[in-house]
Amino acid sequence: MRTSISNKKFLITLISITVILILSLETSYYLVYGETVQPRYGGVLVVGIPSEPPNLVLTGAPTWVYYQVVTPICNSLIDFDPNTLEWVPDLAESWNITVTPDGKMLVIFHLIKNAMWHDGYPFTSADVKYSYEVIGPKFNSFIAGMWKYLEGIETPDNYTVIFKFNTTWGLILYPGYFGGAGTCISPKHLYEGTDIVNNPYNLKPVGTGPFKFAEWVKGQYIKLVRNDHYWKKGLPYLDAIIFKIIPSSSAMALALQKGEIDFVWNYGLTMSDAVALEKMIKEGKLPNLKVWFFPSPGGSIDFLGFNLHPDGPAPLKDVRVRKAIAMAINRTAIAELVYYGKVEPLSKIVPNVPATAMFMPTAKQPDYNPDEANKLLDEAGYKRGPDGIRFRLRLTIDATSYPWYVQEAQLIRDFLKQVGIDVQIITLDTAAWHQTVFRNWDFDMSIFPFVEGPGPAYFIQYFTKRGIVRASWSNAMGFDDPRADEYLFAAEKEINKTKQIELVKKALDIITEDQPGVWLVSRTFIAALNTAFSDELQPGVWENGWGTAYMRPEKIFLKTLPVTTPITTTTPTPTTTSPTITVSTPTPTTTTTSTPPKITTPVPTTPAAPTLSTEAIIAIGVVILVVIIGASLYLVRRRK
Amino acid sequence: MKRGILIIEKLKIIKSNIRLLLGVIIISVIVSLGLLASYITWYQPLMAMEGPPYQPPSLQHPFGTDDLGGDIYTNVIYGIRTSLFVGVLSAVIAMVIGIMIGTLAGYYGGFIDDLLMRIVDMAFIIPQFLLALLIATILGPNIYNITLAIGVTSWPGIARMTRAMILSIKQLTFIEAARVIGLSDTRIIFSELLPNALPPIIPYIALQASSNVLVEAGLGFLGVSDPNVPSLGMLLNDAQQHILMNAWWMSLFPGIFLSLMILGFNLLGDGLIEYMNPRLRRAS
Amino acid sequence: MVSGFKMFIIRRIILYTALFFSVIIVTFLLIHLAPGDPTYILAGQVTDPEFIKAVRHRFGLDKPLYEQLIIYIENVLRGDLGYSYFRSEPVTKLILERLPATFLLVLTSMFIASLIGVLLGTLAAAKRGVVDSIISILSLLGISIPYFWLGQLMLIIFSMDLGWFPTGGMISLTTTYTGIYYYLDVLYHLVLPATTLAIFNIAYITRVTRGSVLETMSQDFIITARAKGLPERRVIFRHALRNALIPVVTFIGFNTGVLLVGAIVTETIFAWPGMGSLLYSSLQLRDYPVLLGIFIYGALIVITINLIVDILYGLLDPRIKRE
Repeated sequence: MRTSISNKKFLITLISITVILILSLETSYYLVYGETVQPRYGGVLVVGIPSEPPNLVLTGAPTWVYYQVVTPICNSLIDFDPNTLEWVPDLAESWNITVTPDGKMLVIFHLIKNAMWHDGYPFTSADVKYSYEVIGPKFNSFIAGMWKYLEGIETPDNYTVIFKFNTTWGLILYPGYFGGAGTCISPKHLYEGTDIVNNPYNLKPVGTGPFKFAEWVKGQYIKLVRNDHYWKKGLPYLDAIIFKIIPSSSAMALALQKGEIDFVWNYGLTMSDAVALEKMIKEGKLPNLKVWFFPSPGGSIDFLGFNLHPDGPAPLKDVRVRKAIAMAINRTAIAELVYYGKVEPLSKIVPNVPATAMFMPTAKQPDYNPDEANKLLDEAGYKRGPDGIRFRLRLTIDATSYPWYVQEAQLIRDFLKQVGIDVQIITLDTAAWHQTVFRNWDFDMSIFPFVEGPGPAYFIQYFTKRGIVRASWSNAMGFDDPRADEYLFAAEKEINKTKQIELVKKALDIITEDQPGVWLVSRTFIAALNTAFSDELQPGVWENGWGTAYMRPEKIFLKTLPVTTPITTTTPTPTTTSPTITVSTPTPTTTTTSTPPKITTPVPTTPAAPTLSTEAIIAIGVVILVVIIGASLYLVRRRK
Repeated sequence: MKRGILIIEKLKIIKSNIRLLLGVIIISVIVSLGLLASYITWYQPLMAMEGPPYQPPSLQHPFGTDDLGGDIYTNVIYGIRTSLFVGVLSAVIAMVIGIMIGTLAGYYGGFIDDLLMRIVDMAFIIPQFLLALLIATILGPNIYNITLAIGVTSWPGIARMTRAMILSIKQLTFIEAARVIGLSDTRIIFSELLPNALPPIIPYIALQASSNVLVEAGLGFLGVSDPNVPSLGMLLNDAQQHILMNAWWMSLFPGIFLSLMILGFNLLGDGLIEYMNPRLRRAS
Repeated sequence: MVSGFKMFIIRRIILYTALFFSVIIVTFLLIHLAPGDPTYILAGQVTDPEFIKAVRHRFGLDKPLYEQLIIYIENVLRGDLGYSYFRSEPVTKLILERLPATFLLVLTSMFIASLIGVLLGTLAAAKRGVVDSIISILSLLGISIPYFWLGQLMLIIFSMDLGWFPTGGMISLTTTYTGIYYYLDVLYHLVLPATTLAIFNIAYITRVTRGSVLETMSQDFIITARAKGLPERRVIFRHALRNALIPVVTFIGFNTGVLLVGAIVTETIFAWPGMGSLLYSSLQLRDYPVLLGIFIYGALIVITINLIVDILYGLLDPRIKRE
């Protein structure tokens, strides 16, 4: 019958259409939200930063705000795997570390051959040599410090660089020297023969990285655009990255809420604002935002340091008093109240993060026990006076760079009050704090935002006698235990990583026993991200002032875009090899310099966005002035 | 009938001195709050962890708790003490300096007058608050330095006023007479000039105090305050830092008491001026 | 024979120049006497004394103080305010970039405040009675309430709770408006901070105007005008106001310094990108050149306004002319 046949046809058509619909929905859904999301090209990432870097010199001064902007523009010799802290290739595709029979060290890098500067010049070993010899020492403290151990740099050909060290300096294994701290390479051809410090390219840098500098509107934003000729083929994915300058944390949080910026990395958001955002996300009010807290990858901690110099306060010279103070402070409460429970109260003196976990000693600090603290203090001979106070101490903090230290200090004051120690809080601004604490040693206790890793360098700097200099970020406590010194100095010269770690651990056990201060809490990093972007925004190895490879900007992409171009990534497969150490006689080397042919492509410049021009304001002011003068003149004339 | 008139008379007196009366009442209340602080609060000032953080006002915490769980009511009451201390003491310092300089300038005239008045002019060009901020930052933020910084930057107005008063009195014959008799300058200043010049200036202590309380709060708001002493400005700074936590009570209560204090001093000062100069009375 | 007025102005200019230089010297000394040294911030987390010495030398901080002062004054005369330590920019450029924003804020609030304040004050003085009482009380409240607290409250109520106004900044962040929409956007962001500043000043100006008008009205020539039978409005506007406005204008002029300061604090609350935030961060960073630059510009502005006020004063007040 006609009806039954057409019914059947109808049914079949219906079913097939449904199946096709479901399949296509599924596929498109999968394409957008699926587990293995394919990278797609296009999109602009807007990053919020709280202040402007002073300049954008590629081999420049290591501060975090500078890194965020510079990392996408440039490359270093090597990079670091954020979890293992091993070297991975960047501009150097392979390397060799050699120890000579007379105790010197050669580090040989073999550079890639296809990298190009944004202006078309090819990248060669001459750029590396120039960056490390001329530009670096002027701006970058790592490189400046390196020259104590560096005899010279040789470039036998265009793609080989040899660093000759006068001793086996073990610190080069860690970020800051050959990479991982924004220690990028600068273009020699744009700096040679110029006034380095005032070179215009310090403000409009030319690098080899995935993004090119496009424009910098002071006080508002810095814009980077895609480098279509990036030497890692197929990368980057984004069209542009814009860094918006938003000086206040609440404005930053609001911008995130409104979707006006996509990404904030730690600096620019206070803990309380981030927690407020987190609350809103939990309540479902901000579906496109993700906020996450993670321990500072570089090992930042808050350390309450004691003044142990000969002219320091007498009570602190007694280890029982120091232990008592450690017992009196409830570190968990600090973590809860000041850091919203997002940080780790420290039991051992290093935090459990990639940069320092390897150095975890066996000894730990005393637990929170105010009764025991009271007993110890009585034992040490500091009985309570009629007002309940045993003795007074001053707590000096940098309240400008770390405003939440005021609250931390208040909590410490309250805790110590309960065991009879009266604390007076002295808040200083950054410059004054450095002067008072690090150079004048005029303090009793202070909260130090120390970074404990990676590598033994920090322990040497803060806890050995070598660090007792009147200079910023030094051993202001005056702490010196010769046993710990011995281990740490040996570690510095040890190139075998396992042996090095053992030595450091032994030193840290001794330091824990000595209790030159109280290790309070680790610090947390905050990141906020628009979920439309891929999760390539990984934590980096360093932070704050020592560099951050915080994001692999070349790998970030916008998930909500359609996949248009087939992805043909011919990225060189990373050779994650630990540096191989061989002992051999040095081969004679000759330095050759050649001038590469010049291929010029104009650096794109965009006109500045319209701002409220000075002329406009002056015009308005003049108009008002004229009105007032005119009115008074009129009045005067009327008088007559 | 007579009683009715008496009451009306009394009301009239009250009405014409309303400012003074209100000022005195408000300041007395505030001062008593400050003096009785330890009796009317049940927590310690500046102690954290008295309760869970960011709690809205409740019976136990009438003004709520702050970011560390401290009781805001306690901090406000003790903060009043601090503001009173700094405000009044710095006003006194300003008065002493200002009167001294104004008298010297007015009495001796000539070169001294010029020099001192130029200094006063210069002081007027650099805004007082900025200078106080600079000095407080340099000296370090503790309560004595802050008081000093504010006191040392608020005298110019008083100096000018004193000088004007001295100038006008100087002309009066009895001063000439005193000089003719041969009284020493110091004697003239202290026993003839000042007793006549000062009374109209006294009310300005109150006005100066009101202005200085504002400056102290402003400094505290910008973070320049003694962390060992509760202060209303510091409380407002806390409120600003944690503004996204929507804890409106951290801002409201300190601000109300701050405003009351400033209002009280203003009324007191205005009232005293009116009281002493009936002809300047702006009848209302 | 030079007219008395011109003489007066010339004397004032000489005075102001001297004051200007004294301001520079005093501020320079004060700032450099402050404990804390920008070198250590400039050098970053460095322990190498050689590097630090190099940084010091680069910024000329190793010369004795008086030498630095002399060099500085020479530069100022040439119009060069130096280079910021922390932002690779000439100080002049830094300040001029932010000056418009602060100007916009200050001028707008000053304009509104003057207009409304003079109006209210005159109204209060003229009408007396209930109107006067209400206005007096309001203005008293206005000067007693701390303006930064008011700003904070307005931020909480109008921005966060009600969402009527943005919580900060001068322009919306990603959407770049052009043309008329740009100005409207700025205006939208201007409302709260300008209101905060304005309220305080309205109250003050109202009080001063009221007092001045009252005083003028009790003077003889007003009584004469009234006796002549002139309508009240004419009396006020033609005769009283002109004289009454003199102290008001003076007051507005002198108050510029206070306004600038108010702007600083207000800018902090509303993240307004003006000189205020620049000043505050430079103070903490010990960015001497910028700090000095801001004080110099501030002094310049105040002096200019004072000079203008003096000129107007001289024009309005016949007594000056006869000097």
